[in-house]
Amino acid sequence: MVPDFSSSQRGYQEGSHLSGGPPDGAYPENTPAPDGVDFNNFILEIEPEPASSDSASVQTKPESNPNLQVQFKSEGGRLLLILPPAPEKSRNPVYWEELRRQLKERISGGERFLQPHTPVHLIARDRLLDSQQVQEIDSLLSDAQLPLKRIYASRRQTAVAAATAGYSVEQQTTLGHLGQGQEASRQAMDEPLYLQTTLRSGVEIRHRGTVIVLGDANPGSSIVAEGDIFIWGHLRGVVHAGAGGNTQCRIMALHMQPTQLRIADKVARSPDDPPAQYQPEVAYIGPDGIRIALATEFALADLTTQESP
Amino acid sequence: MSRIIVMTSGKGGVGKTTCTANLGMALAKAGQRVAVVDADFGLRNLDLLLGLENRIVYTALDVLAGECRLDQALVKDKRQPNLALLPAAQNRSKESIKPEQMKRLIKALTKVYNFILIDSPAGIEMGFRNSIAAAREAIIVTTPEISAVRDADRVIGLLEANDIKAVRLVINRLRPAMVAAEQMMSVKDVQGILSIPLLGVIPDDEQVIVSTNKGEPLVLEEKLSKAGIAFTNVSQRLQGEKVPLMDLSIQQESFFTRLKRLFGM
Amino acid sequence: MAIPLISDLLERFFGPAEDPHSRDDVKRRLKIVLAHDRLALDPQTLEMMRQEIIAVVSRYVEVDFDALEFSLATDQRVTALTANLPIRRIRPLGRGADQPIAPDAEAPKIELASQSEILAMDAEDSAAALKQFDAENPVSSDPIHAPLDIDRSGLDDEDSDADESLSDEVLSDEAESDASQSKENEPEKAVSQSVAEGADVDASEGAVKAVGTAKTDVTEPG
Repeated sequence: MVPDFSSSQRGYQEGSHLSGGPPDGAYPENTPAPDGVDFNNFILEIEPEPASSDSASVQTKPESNPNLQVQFKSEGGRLLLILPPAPEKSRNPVYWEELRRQLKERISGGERFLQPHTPVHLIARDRLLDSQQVQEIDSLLSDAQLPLKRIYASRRQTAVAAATAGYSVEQQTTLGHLGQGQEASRQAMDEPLYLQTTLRSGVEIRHRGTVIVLGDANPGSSIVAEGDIFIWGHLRGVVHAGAGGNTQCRIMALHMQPTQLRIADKVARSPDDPPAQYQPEVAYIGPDGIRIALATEFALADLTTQESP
Repeated sequence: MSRIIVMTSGKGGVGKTTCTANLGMALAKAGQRVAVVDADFGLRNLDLLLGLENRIVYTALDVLAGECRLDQALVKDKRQPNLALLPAAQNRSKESIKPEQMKRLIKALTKVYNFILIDSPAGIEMGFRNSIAAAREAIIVTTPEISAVRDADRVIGLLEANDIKAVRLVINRLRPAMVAAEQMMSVKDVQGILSIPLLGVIPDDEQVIVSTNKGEPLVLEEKLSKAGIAFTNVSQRLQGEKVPLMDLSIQQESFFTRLKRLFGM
Repeated sequence: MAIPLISDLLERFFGPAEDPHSRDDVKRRLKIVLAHDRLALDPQTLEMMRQEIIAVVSRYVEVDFDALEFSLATDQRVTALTANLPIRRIRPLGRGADQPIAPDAEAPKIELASQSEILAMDAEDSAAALKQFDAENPVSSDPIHAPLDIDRSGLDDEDSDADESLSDEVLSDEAESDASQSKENEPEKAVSQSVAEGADVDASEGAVKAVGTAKTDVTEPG
C-alpha cells in the first residue's frame, strides 16, 4: 500500500531527472546580469517610457494634483459636483465605472449633510460624457433629492450630449472661478468630506481637506487627506493625513489598527503587539516622528499648539 | 545571468503565491539575491504571505507613474535581507499595467537581483499576460485534481505559444494517503499527463495555513515541516543541485493508533 | 467530544466504504478532455473536418461509413487524430488515378451521411445506394483498370470466424449488386468484429446499424 515514489516510469525519474538549473537556450547571450552594485545601498530606476506617437499618451503638462476624485463643493446656495479630469489626460485615470462608484459613495456617505432640493451644477470639465451617462448622474442625484440644474462642460461633445438629453448646458473652456487651479497652492482646504460607510479593500479616498468616516476602514483601503482623518470605527487600512505637507494634522480612530499611518511625509506602522483592549487614540507628529496617544490623554494637551503630552 | 521565473497555474487557489513566497525565501536563505514581484494587481496577496503588508509604501504602479524610484518601492525583508518584494497595487485592476511596463520593471531588477520570481494571478487574461511578458522560465503549480490539471495544461500551451519553453512542474498539496487509496492522482499520473519535467512535489500540510496566518513563510521555521523541506528541496534544484524527491509514503495506522484517533487522543 | 454514531465508529475503524478507482476515472476523463482541449477545435469544426476527411477519402476508395471511427488521443503533448476508415473496395478507375479530379467534381453518389443518418442507415439503403453508384460508374473493361487488381495486403480476411454472425440477407444483398463483391469480407470483418464485441444484432436490419451504435466516434458533440 505504500505508494512508490521512486519508480522510473518514462519521463519520471528520481533524482537526476529533477533538475531545475537554468535551462539551455532560455537566456540569450545579452541577458543582463547583476552589476557590481552595493546590495545594501543601491538606487534603482526603470527605463523611461519609450517616446510614442500615440495621441492618447500624456503630452500635456502633468497635473499638480493627479488624483482628483468626484467632489461636492457648496457655493452660494448651490452644490457643485466636480468630476475628475478626463482619463486620457490623467496619470491616474478615473474611468466611468469608478466615477459612478465615487459618486454613489459621496452621495450616500454625505446623506445627512447634503440638503435635499439643493440645486446641483455638474462640472464635467474636459470629460467626455454621453447622454446616457449624464442621465445616470442625474438619476443618482435625484435618489438623494438633489436636482441637476445645469451642466458645465469644456468638451463640445459632452455639451451636445447633455443638451440633447434636455439639460441646461454651458460650454466653457476653463474652470474659471471654480478654484480647481492647475498649480498646487496652499489654498484653503475644502470642506470636510463626511462619509457614512465602511471603506472596503481596494477603495481609495482622496480629499483636499479633512475626512471623517462613520464606519470602518478595512485593510486594503486607503485615505489620503490634506487635513485630518477621523475614523469613527475600526481603522485597519492605510491613512495619510496632511498629505499636502501639513505636519500638524492628526489621525484619530476609535480602534487604531492601521496597516500604515502617514502624516505629511512621515510613515509609521502600528506596534506589533496590539493592546489588550482598544481605546480611542490619536496619531500625531511628535519630536521623534509619528506617535500615538490615548485620546483621553491627548485631549489634556493644548490642542492649539504643537505641544503634545 | 539573472533568472526570471514566472509562477503560474491557470487555476486559482492551487498555491502559486505560497510557492512564490517560500521559494523566494528559501533561495534568499541560500544566499541568492531574490526579488519577488506580485503581478496580481487589484487582488494582491504576496505581501500577506510574506508578512510585509504593513511595510508597503509604494507599489509598482507608483514606480511606473514616476512618483518614486524602483528601489524605494521594494520592500526589503527584515528577517532575510536577501529578499525584496515589489508590491502590486491593491486599488487598481489588472488592466492598470501593460506587458511592456512589466518588462521595464523586471529589466531594472535584473541589475541587482539573481532571481526574480513573478507571482502570476489566476486566469489567462491580462494579468497572466503581464506576468509572462518578461519571464524566461515558468513554473507551473498544480494540485492533483482534475480542474487544476486541465487548466495547467491550457497554460502550458499558452506558454509554449509565447515562446517560454522552459516550463517545469510543481505538484502541490499531494495527499499520499489518498493516492495510496486510489482516490487521488499520483505524481506519476499528473506528470505523465502534462508531460513537462517535474521540479518538485509539495505535500498537503496544515502548517501552510498557520504560516499564512502569521505571515511567516514555512521555510523560516526552525524545524521544517514536510512542506518546508519540500520547498527547500525545490529551491536547491532551481540552483542546479540534484535532490531526490522526498519519501512521502504514509505510515499505515495501526489499530491502536486508529482507536486513539477515534477518541480524540 | 461528541459520541460518534455506530456507523461513524465502524467507518473510523474500518475506513470509508470502498469507492474504487476514482483515480482511474479521473485519469481517463482527463486524457479525453485534454485531447479535445489541446486540439482546440470546437465541436462543429471538428465535425466538419470529419466529414471532409470522409469525403476526400471517398473520392478514391469506397468507405464503409458504418464502421469508420474517429478518435482523439494525446500523449507527450502531441495530439493525434486517428481515423479508421474501412474500405469496401477501391473505386473503379473510371475516375481514376490518371484523371485529376476537378475541384467541383461530383461527390460520390453515396451521400455523405450525418451521424444520425449513419445510425439510421440500414442494409437495404446501403445496398440500394451501392446499386445506384455502380449504375453510374460502370466498370471499365480495360484490363489495366481491372477492378479486381487491388492490393489486398493487410486486408485479407484470415479470421473470418465472426462471419457467421452476419445475416445471410445482408451478404446476399450485396452479392447481388456486384458479382465482384465477393471480396466484401473486409468491411464485414470490420463490421463483424464490432458485432462480436457485443452489439445487439438485429438480423433483418443488419449488423450495419448495430455497428454504428456500438462504435460511435468519440468526437461527437454532446
